[in-house]
Amino acid sequence: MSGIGALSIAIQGLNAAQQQLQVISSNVANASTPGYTVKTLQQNSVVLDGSGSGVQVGGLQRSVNTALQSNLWQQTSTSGSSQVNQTYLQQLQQLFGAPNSNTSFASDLATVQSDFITLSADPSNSIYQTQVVNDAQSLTSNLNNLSTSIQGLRNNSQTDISNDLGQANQLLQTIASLNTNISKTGNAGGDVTDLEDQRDQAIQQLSQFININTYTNSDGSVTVQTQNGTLLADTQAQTLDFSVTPLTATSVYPTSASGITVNGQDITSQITSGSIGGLINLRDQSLPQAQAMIDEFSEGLATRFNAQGVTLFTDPAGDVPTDTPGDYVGFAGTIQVNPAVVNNPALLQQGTAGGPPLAAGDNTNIQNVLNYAFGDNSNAGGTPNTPFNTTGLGANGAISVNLPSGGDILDYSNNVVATLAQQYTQVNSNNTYQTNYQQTLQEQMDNESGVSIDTEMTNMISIQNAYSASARMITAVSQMFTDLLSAVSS
Amino acid sequence: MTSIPTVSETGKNYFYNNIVTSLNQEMQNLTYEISTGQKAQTYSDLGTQVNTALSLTAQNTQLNGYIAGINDATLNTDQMDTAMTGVTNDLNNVVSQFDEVSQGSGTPNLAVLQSTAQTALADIYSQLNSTVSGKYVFGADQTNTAPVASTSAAGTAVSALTSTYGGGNAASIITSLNGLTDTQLGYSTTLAAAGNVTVQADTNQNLNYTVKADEPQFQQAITGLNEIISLTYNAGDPTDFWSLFNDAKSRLTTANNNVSLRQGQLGVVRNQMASLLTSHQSMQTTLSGNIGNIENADLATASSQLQTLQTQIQATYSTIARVSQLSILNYLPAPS
Repeated sequence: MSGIGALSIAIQGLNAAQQQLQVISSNVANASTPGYTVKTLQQNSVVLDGSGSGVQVGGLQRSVNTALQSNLWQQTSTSGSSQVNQTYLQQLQQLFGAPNSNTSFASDLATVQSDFITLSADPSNSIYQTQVVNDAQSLTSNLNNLSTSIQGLRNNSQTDISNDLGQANQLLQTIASLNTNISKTGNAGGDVTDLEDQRDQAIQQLSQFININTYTNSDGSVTVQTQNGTLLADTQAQTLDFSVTPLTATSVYPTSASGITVNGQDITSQITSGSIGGLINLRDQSLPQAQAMIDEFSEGLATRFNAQGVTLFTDPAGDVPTDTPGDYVGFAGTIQVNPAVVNNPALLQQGTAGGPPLAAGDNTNIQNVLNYAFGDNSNAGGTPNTPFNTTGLGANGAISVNLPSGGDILDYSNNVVATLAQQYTQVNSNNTYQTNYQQTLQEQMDNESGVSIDTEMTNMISIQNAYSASARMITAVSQMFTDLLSAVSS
Repeated sequence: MTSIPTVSETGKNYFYNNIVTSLNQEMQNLTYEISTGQKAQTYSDLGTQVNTALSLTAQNTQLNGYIAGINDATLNTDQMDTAMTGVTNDLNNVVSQFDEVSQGSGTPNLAVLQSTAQTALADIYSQLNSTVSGKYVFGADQTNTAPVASTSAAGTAVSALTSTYGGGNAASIITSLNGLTDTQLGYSTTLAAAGNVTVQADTNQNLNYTVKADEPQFQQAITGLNEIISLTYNAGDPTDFWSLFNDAKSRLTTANNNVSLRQGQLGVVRNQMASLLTSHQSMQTTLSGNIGNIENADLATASSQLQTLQTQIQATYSTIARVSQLSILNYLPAPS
């Protein structure tokens, strides 16, 4: 090898070291930038005619574990769904109050039962009768508020869906725009690694809202679609549409509650996780199920009292609903104490069915209420209490509840409160697990793809040394030329 | 060789942030427990004990009803017991006066006996019409109607019969006296058909504490007292007179015994009520304790946990501070 050749290789070494330093500098500067992945510069030896003739640098490379990244995006969707579930069902839990406050409707029912027991000792006592009416009104008021709050949560879920969709649409626009730039820049031979970082971060943010599938195209762009393959974004972004319509207990998707569409195609069923998936599940499943439980309780309560000749609970028209699930959807929101009893509490003792007046100390009707309306046996006439419906509930008849169909009304009320509490406990525990798992993946991803200052500084020392060595090479070649010229001239 | 994974700056920050957030959440929970004394903010915080807590609370509330009912019924039975003691005292006074009347020849002196009987009769009517909070305790379930509607009807009916004694008809009069109806004895027209008064004292335990004013012992007392009050000695028919005199004594003695017997029966029910009341109150104490064990925070444990957590948080912050200083930058010479 000639001295000139060595000099040329040394200069290549200096250039390579300078470019490596530039990359390290960029890495260090972005050490805390969210979504930034550590970059490395490919460096290869130049071989001509079988012998080494220098060094060349290639393109920048990102350090991304794509399998881990895919898992992280999927887990981000799962975690997004579990978080909204946790938030909403926590609010539902709070509606029952703290256990020691005894403000749940189950506590109210126990108080009404206690009032009836007291009344049985002195059936015509107007103070006791008024107490029953007052506590029964507290019970119905509690149920009305609970129903209103559940429907309020359903309506809030729609507002949140709308807000989340707004952000998701913006992210789809961002992804499409970045895809276009990546494709163009890549085709022109430019560096696309930072654009890819930004796009991947946008995809991860999108996966917080909606579960997606992705694949990378030959031009470097990424196609984003739903799990069933509906296109959401490539170099063009689709728009997710949703209209917020006020919901009542009888509103049900798809007839009276909106779905999410893309170009007119309903993709609601394809969105199974992400915060939007979680919100849809809350609106169409979890919250209607809670509504169905309190509707079933309210209907059972009104029916069982009515069967004893003491129609204490009615709908606003003064009627007791029939035991057909579709007929009493939302009844918990309208149940009231029979106005006839409110106006004349003595009907508690005399009964609301009419007939000859009872003696002032006659507690037959009150005993029937205690034994049969609050009991789980047949009524005084031998007619068994109607079992609680557990399937075919809700406005679409598709809701089922995991509650026993037998048992007394007080057990049922306790079971409703306990079931919703346990449901929340499971959701909360699942959310903790999903969030921890998501955090573990995120941490792993950050550690694998993020910048380590220590590593970069170590690399910097190594590159500094390489630079010094190349410089020494130039000095040595220069000295050699000087020595050679001195020898020739002497 | 085992490779040690690299730790990036964002990875470190994320890790520290998660640890601190988690510790702060635990701190908040413990602070809530200590400040409120409650373990749970919602039913779900009770975990697997939520069903037990709800069931115990419902039982506790139910016991409130039983206790209030028993207390209410006890006011009635206390009054009934007092009234029946009054009746037996009245009858004792009268029966003891019978022995003061000489059954030898000559006109007996009935004045004191009859006066005592008058007083006793008035008191017994008053006792039978006694009330608690305006409710008649001897009216069975007809609590709004005075069981004794007329305090003179029985006297009229009895004297109509006793005034006819003579010629050996005493036995016939006694039979007629036995057959006097509720109305003839002055009772309210609804009393005969009145139903029982009961109190729901426990699950499936209904206690019947009915004592009606027209029960035989009271009828005998009213008849016997009116019988003796209405008797006038007729020297022409001493046999019939003494038959009726002794009949009255016998009636009142029997009535007295039977009132005492009935009072004893009522006493059994009263004892049952008192026993159940004590049992319910004791059960409430137990239930409240059990509910407290589930819902109340153990302040000693919570305080100790809080102290441990504070130490943990301090140690974590200290570790984070030290780890943050561990950078190769600290060991590299500054550029000259």
